[in-house]
Amino acid sequence: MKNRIQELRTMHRITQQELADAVSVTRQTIISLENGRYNASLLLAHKIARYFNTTIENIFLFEEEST
Amino acid sequence: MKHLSYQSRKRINMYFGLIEGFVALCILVTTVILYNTLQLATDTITFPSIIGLSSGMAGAGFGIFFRTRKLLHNPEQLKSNQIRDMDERNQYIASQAARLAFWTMLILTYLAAVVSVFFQPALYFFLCVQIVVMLILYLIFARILGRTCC
Repeated sequence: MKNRIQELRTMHRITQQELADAVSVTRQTIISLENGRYNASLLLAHKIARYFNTTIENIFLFEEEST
Repeated sequence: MKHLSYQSRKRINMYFGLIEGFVALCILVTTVILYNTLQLATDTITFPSIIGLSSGMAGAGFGIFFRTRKLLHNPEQLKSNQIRDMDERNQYIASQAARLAFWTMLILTYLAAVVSVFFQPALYFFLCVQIVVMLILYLIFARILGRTCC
């Protein structure tokens, strides 16, 4: 699942560590999220969306799985 | 069930460490007294083993107590530890590692049982019982977790 975390973070001029502290996760989790290696839980997605003052759909881009 | 805060859980952990340390110390002292009074010099396995195990337990227990006590007096370090321990990616990695370790262990035990049937029938039966117990425990925990958490 793709996301716009890195884009939003750069736009708001905040570091990975600052975002990690704000949503109570480690910096490694933010790195994995930005690289697309890890999918956030609903709770974490909600925390990130609230931090950027936007919606989950605006950050996490859901894609239909091709069969 | 009411969830305890991270700080409360650490505090409980600290007191468990203290209890473990004292129990182990009591076992150690009792063993040393018995060893000296009973004069069982011929027993070269039991007493030294108990002394070794209880010393290790005492060290681990008091180690947990002092480390956690130090942590509870440092709010910054406590917060950092809380984030590291509660981080959902770390928890996911830990659960995946445990899952892989369980199934690898089960397969290796099965292979050891197959090999041991040619050399040690007693070991074969022991390993078969171990496999059955592991599978029963897996089913019990899967059922409990299915009812309580999901």
